[in-house]
Amino acid sequence: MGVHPGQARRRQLCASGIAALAIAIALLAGCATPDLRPFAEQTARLAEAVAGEQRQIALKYVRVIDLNDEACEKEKRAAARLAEPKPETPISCTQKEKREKNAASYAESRRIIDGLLEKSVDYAATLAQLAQAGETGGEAAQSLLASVRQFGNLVGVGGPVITTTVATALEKISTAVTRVQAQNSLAEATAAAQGAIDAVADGIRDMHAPIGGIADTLQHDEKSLLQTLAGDDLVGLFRDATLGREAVSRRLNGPEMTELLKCGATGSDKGKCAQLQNSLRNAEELGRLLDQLRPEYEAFVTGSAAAKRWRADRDENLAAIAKATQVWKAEHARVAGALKRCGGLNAVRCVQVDAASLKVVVDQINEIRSQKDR
Amino acid sequence: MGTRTRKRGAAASGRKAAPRGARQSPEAAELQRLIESLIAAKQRGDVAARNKAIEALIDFRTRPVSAELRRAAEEARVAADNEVMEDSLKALSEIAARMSAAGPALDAATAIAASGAKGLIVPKLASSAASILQLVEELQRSIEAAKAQVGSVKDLGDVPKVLSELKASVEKLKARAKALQA
Repeated sequence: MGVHPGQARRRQLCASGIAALAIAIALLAGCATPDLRPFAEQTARLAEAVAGEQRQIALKYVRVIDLNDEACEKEKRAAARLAEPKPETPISCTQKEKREKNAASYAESRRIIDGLLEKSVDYAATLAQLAQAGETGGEAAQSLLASVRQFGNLVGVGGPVITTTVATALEKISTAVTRVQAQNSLAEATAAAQGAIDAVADGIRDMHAPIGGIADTLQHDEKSLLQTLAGDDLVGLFRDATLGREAVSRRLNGPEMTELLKCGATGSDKGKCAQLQNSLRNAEELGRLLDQLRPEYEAFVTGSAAAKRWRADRDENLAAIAKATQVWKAEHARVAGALKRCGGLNAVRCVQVDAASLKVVVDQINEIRSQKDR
Repeated sequence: MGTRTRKRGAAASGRKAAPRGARQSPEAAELQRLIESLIAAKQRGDVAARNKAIEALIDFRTRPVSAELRRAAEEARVAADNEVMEDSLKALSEIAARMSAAGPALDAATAIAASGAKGLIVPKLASSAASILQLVEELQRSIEAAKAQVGSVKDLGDVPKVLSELKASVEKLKARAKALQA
């Protein structure tokens, strides 16, 4: 069947229109690579928040070691005064050495976590830069590969330092690197990197988990040492004297006070009056005793309460960090999904990956820390 | 009713029993109970109960007890915080066993410390910390007198040794009281 020349012309025009539209869409798709900067920004904030939390533990170690030092000196002086032939080494002295070792071991674990976080920030920044530059092909995949490889290059991790958690993470990262290497586009490379991201996030969560136990120990240490420095006797005496004074005051604030007031004028019942006046003197003496003990006692109470609050803050942040690492994994999966959806005719589906859920959890971690600073 | 056959205390738990004749002070018994509850909490993995028991150990030191008991309480606190479970439980069990075997010298020192501190909160007995010292010195004189009498009688077994230990404990207490007054 023959075709009318006008019809053929119309078909030709239509075909070139479709081709032009396809080119336009393809160009649009290239320009519309999702904006991954919010993901990179939130990754950097997460790294900072976790590092800040780790600093809290490191600083508490310093505080506890200092308190051990102070208590050790005090207990040594006390033992010397007792002039025992072979005085036992005060526990605070042996504990000081132990906590110094614990602090060094913690510093190593902190260094690994900080290293992983630093590389996560680099990775997210690379991803955002490539997306912003519209580089989504094979070269971009290779650029991303270089930053995924960095996760496996934790300087100095090995030998006795390497834990099962670190070993597992490194193994998963290595597998992911091999997969990323085989990809020809940024979208595919990002999806293939998910394994490494999961390993890093779970590794940080698992390495961070023992902080609960460490924080417990440090809080107990701090309270115990503050009590040693105030004096076990002093703390006990203050509490007992407070109870004693309250008991005497309760008696004197009742009908006995009326009786006592009468004593001065009439002195009718000398035995009873003497007893009441004695109670009054006792209350005054206890009051003086309490005044003398108060500075040391209050320093102990204030310090112990602060240590307890610090511990509660760590608990909250430990949970928030565990959650944040999982949200970070999920956000990365969304980033990979967005890059995949963004190809060819699907450009209209490209949206900004706002990383809003990650922002919420990171804000929470920072808020808990800033409450302490206030 | 028949006689009770249920084993109690150290025998039931298979723990090392206190030496024959040794009497455990109520404070040593309480510390032992605290440590046992701590062991149980650690074995159950109950962090809240463990932390509560540790806080109780710190508070225990503020009571009028002997220096030995205070040190034992702090040793237990430190052992409880040991991250190696096996080492922690072993150390705690050893301290608990020590408390179980706490003998008369410790008992007497604890009792003296308790009465001294009681004097401080019962103003009629002691309007100042100096009364603790008086009380201790009085007890020291009594001990010396008792020791002299005991020394003239043979076959008294370990009584002179126990008295000597008691004197040492009292001297420690005296020094503590002096430190408190300083």
